[in-house]
Amino acid sequence: MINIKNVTKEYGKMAAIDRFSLKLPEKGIYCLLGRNGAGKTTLLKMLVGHIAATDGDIFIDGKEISPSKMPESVNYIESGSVQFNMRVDELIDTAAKLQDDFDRDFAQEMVERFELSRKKRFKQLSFGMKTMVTSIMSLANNSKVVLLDEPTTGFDAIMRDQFNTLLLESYHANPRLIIVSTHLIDEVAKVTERLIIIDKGKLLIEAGMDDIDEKAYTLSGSLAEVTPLLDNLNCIGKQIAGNVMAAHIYDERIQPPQGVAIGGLSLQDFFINIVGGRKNG
Amino acid sequence: MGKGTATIARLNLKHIKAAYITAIILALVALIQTSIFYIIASSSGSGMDNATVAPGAYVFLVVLMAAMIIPASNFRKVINLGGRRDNFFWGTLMAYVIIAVLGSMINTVMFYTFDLFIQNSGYFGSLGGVMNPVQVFDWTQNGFAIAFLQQAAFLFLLACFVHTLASVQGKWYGWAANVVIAAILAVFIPIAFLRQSLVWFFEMVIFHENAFIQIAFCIVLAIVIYMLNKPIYTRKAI
Repeated sequence: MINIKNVTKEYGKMAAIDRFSLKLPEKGIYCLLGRNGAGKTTLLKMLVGHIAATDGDIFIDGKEISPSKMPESVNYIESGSVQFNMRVDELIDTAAKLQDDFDRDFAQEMVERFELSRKKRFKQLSFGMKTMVTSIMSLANNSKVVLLDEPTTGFDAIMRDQFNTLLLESYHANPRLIIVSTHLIDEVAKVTERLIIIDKGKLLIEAGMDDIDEKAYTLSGSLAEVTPLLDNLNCIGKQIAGNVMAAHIYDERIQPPQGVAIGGLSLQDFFINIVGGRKNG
Repeated sequence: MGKGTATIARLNLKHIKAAYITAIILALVALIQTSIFYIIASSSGSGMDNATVAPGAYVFLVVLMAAMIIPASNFRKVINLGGRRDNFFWGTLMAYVIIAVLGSMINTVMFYTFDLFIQNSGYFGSLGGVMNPVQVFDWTQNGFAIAFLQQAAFLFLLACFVHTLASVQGKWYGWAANVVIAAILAVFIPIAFLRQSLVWFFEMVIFHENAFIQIAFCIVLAIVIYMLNKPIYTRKAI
């Protein structure tokens, strides 16, 4: 479905996306995870043809993507994007008139459910409400590929939970390829099937959530006992306190020897370690 | 042209409020000012040699501002609502045709009613009390309908030209276009034979004695200039 081949996007001398390749062949909810400035928005904008790649090719459903060949099958609305200062119901009506696969009933239903005032103008909404309106408009589009850029920015915990429900309902009503870009890791883990982690414009990992659950773990014990085990394992981070070490692993599970404990690794810790945010030892 | 072209035209016409408000305020000021001058001149009986910009002439300001606001502000918002670049291109062209036709209609009606009333009152000497481009450019010599068409064609050309210039600002070719235009004006005016080409150009777009040639020239040139936007908008980053 999506095929990104060795794509680079440079702004001046800085590469926002650096020789990035990725294939997403199937429908599903994918989480695009990365730190601020990792290149998430740049990648999504290239996928929808809003900006051109400096090098490399992007194909969606076999069709090459560029600003002059914007795909009909991809929908993307940037969160926090500028919108016409219309009433919420007018915005939805206008989006329905502009987009081929827009489900107006779904959008109206979601507006009701999230208690967004239909009569309020866009500029009168709070930041979180604005994001919710744009997220609803994105999910109401039944294109083959839907890209959501930081769709929960400005949401409180309840809104984030409601959004997850909305995302799942939308997906089950019309299964398609949805990419959710975020840096709120554990929230999105509840609904996503696969994880794409990028850092400094490079792809670090693309894997299923089950796979990460299985392969990401922590070995803890004395330095002398844990250190030899790491020779044949992909150690993504270590924490050392005195003579004790906790090594974070992303690899096949092993049967640890006596004296070494094996424990789970939260998605947040996994992310922090894999992007190199925790450097200790 | 695809789904949404008419919607984009409507969006563009609706979301240029700054242009409407500015023009309406200035037109009202002109209307009140001219009316006050008329009352003073008619009551004193002595008259005055005076002329202000005709209220209807501010439709030119609407066209100028619309052609700047639409590319600078509306394009991004249309795309953020899921609109297509191609539809923006055609929808905007449709909006300019509507603005030019309605603007010309308003100003021509204003000229043949309010402006002529003031001028025919005889209180304002040779200056006539009001100045309206429709008269200054001599478009009224063939009557209401032709004046309306000549002005509409010119306004359409003005919209397409300003839109194209506004669309390329911030790019190297935008700066190059600015420099070329400034250079043409600066170099062509002092040199006699080059000045003749400028005179020819303005005669074609404004003053040509044959109204139909002026109308046709404006429309063809407007479309040629507007088509330059096609590659600009297919590549424009958002």
